[in-house]
Amino acid sequence: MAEGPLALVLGGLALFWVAMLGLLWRRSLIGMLVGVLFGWLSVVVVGIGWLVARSTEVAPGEGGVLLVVFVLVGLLQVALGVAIVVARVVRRGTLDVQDAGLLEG
Amino acid sequence: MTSLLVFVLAFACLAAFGSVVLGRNLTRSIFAAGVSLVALGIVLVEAGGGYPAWLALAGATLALALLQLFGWMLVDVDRDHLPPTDGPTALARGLAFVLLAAGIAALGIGLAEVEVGPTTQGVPTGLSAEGDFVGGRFFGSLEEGAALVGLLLAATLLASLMLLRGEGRNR
Repeated sequence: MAEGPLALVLGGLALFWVAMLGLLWRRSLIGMLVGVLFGWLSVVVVGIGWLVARSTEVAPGEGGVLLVVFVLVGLLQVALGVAIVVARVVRRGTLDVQDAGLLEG
Repeated sequence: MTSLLVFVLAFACLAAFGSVVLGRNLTRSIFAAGVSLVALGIVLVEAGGGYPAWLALAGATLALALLQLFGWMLVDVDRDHLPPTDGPTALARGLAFVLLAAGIAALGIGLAEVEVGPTTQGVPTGLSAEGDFVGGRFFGSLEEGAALVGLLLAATLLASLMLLRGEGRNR
């Protein structure tokens, strides 16, 4: 593997553990949400590094469509999370973060 | 080139760590996350990430904007006032707006330099070959329409924010 893609893969792994720190540390809600975002981004960075390493002049961009599918799945998860929050606000009139942790109603 | 890429990547990881650590302060955390996104964008584009990189960065920016929006919604509006903004937060907010303005300016310059017709450059490398195809497919003839939809979405988001602030004040 060339040095550039290798740096991407290793950097993506480092970013993944930064994201895991935010999730496992549970210091704050925003920190956890940012951790989720960087966890998703770390997967994308590793995937792009892997695909760039596999890409050749004969078959440029091989597997790029698969990565786009992964990105779209992540975006759909974001949309699902927003829909849950909006539905909860509409139903209860407010977003009680402490109560929302119970995942009831 | 690789050493610069490694340095920027390490900076992105450091900014992401700072964003997680500063999670108790929304504005500073979002600013650090934005800095990390910019650094990651530079790395991914320079490494030949192509259209998957652009799509992922656009999605991450959208997610960060949503986080900022819901962070504002989670502010305790029952007190009918917000605490005064301290110096570092105001500085981070100002730098965030500067970054946003720079991004919009870069986007405008890039759109102005788009050339119509077949390219005379060499064979694209990395993931950029399919990126040209997908970009031309979705934003070739619909480029102006896509920009208009983006402006309308931004205007709607800003109007929603203003309405939310109004509801908080009237309670």
